[in-house]
Amino acid sequence: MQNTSLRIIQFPWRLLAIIIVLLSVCAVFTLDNIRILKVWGVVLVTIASVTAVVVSEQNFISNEKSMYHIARSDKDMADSWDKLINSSNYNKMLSINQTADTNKYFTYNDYNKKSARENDVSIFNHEVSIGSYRKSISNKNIESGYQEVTYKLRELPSDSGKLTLPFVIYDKNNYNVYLNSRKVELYENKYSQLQIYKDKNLQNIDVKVKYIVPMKYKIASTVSLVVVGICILLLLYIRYKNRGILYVRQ
Amino acid sequence: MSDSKWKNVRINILIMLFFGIFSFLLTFVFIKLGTIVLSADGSFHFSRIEELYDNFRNGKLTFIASHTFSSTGVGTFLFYPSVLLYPWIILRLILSPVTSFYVWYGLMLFVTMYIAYYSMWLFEKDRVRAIIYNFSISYTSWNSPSRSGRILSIHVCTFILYRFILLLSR
Repeated sequence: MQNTSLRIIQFPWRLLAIIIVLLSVCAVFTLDNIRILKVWGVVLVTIASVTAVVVSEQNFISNEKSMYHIARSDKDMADSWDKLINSSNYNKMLSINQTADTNKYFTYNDYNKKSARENDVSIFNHEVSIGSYRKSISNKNIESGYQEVTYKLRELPSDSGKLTLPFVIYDKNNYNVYLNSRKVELYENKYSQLQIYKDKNLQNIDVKVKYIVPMKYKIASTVSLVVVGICILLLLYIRYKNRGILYVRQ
Repeated sequence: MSDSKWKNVRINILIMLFFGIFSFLLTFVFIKLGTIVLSADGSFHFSRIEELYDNFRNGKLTFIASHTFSSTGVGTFLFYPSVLLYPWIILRLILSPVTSFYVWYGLMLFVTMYIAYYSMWLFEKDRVRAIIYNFSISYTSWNSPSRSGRILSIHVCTFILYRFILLLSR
């Protein structure tokens, strides 16, 4: 499948899951055609299912301590296959830097914009750059709001130039950027990162980037909602109109 | 209500009850354990949930990640469907992250089991076949909460297939 147009789908082999549906249909007809199972089929399937559930749960509980461990560090979180999360480490899991050296499995990577993926280490390490100057900013200098992020940048070089920020841009028409509360023009580098022009001698600045929901998204959401409402009403109407027919059939 | 119709309703209630108990059994143990296997994509999906939850409790929809995903503005929400995650987010308003996940998982398991059963019943008009089908198809999703997407898609797939066949046969 990797040599077909299906390769644009993440993990095309997932389409093979349809086999589960087809095998289940086969199971129905096979079990149903066995005479003894015609009466007891459902009982046997239920017993088998309950047994499978109890055994697999028991298996999980008995193996939990030996096979799985509560994740306690960033390193643990990064190697996630055999790690458990609970209420104590939940927030830590959310704030982990996914591109840390210790991470063997960077799970966000597949879902990032393709061009941004090529520079994801820099983006996730919150690197800010201007010319040859590079600096990682700490989380305390990043303020998150509703669909907006503010970067508090201090002690930048006094030179003017394009300042690159660790923020991924999709369609630059849908973003507004403010430099010290003043709206400025935004640019996008080849890694789809946000860039703004910084004037000379501006060393301590606040840059706010805000996502503006496109009108077409709002229209699409409203249309979807209205169509769902109409479909429900139509279904109820059809049901009401056919109530006599359904009754005769029964 | 006629006797046959009442009998149908009673059988349907019994089947729903059975699926309900089954879903409860599948999730109760995990709620008691209070842990979730992080697995491969765990942190990705929990980050999605937290971003949606943060905005939802302020009465807003989500398009890009500004709180989670290291505040990088990743636009997962622009492409990844999240409608079916909202029941989880509503549960998250009142329950802990781990409990809300398992309650949502149980709820989805129950709903999708019933959809699979109902779809096969529509196709065959045979309850035994429908129950056998439901358990056959459900087996893949038991005990694998980290594969919740699969539960949703495979079960609903039956309903789509049924409607597609119906459309072709007309």
